[in-house]
Amino acid sequence: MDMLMTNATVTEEELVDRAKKGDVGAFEALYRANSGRVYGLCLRMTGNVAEAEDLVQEAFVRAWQKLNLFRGESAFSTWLHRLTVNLALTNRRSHARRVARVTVTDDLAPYERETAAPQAGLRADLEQAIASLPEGARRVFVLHDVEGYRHAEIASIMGLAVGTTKAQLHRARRLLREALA
Amino acid sequence: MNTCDEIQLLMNDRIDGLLDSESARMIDEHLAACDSCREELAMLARVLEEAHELPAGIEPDRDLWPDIRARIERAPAVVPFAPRAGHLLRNVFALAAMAAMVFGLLTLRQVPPAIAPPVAELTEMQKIEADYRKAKDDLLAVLREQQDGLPPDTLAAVEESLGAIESAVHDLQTALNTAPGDSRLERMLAATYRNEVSLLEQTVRLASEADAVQR
Repeated sequence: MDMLMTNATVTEEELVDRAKKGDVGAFEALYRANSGRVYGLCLRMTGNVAEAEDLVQEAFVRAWQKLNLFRGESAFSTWLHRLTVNLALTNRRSHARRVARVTVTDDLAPYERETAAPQAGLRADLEQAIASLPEGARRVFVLHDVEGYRHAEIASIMGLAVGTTKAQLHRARRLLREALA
Repeated sequence: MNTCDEIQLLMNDRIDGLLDSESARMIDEHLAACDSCREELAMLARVLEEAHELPAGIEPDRDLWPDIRARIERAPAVVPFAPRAGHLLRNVFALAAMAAMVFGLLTLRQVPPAIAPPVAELTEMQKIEADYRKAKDDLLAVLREQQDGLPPDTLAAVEESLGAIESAVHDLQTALNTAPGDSRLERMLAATYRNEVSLLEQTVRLASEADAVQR
């Protein structure tokens, strides 16, 4: 594993090939390269640290189990991102059935660590405001305005009409404007 | 004259570039005359600019890898089939899987959706899932021991067909998460599970026969 981590010449493609053959060390290198991106997505989609950690673990376990389905038609990180989005959406639905009300995070530390710039305070406020959004509005806002998905893609992934995702996005933006005004 | 509420709804489409030029012009005219809407638009633009500039990655508080590693070491490993060309067998397996799928769909058409209460079907689905996972794990374990006896083309064809079936399973599971308890989707998923187990059984049989010949 250490050798993989320190050898800059090992490409993502090679790591994927090794992992497909059962090389856990290669898969760890893929985890190290992608964990921040996946965790950021999960944290924003859930607004909850513990749930985001569970989702990250689940995403990488699923990726390991489904690695033989990855054909290399896109970057591994793109495939993993899509897998995580699907998982976050399905997981939220099942979680919502178990828990009547989602507890959003008041802990800004995870966000503030990543924002050393002068506007860190504003970004942390925005992160907290996103975490406080209602679930549907938050998911659509994160996918559209943070991750850059289009309405048609979001509607397809979430099994909703485009009009519904637009309405959720408008709601999210209005609530964020009010929260940050 | 549009109200501010109407304008603020359209502002989202305006800022996303989704309005035709006539609607955009109408909004711009309103904004030129309305301080309140102009402020709302400026605030919206600021929020979106910040959202676009949020860092993509956030490092977790703790290292999650040890837990992931423990789980993947317990989980069934990736089937290490070597990818090779095998058009004839691949087509045979794909057709077999497709035929089984069509058969499953035809069977579904003959069963009224409301034949059993949703609660009973969910319980049944859970049993089917458990049976499927056990059968799949057992067959994969056998296959991993015997796969060397199979021709590479066969392995490649099986791998590809399994990939297609697992994609179908994933899509159906995603659809079921959107519509939990949908009895038609559950039956389609159960049929797809049967296809996968059937394909694995055929492959194990072939591998066993090849193994016996080599001995």
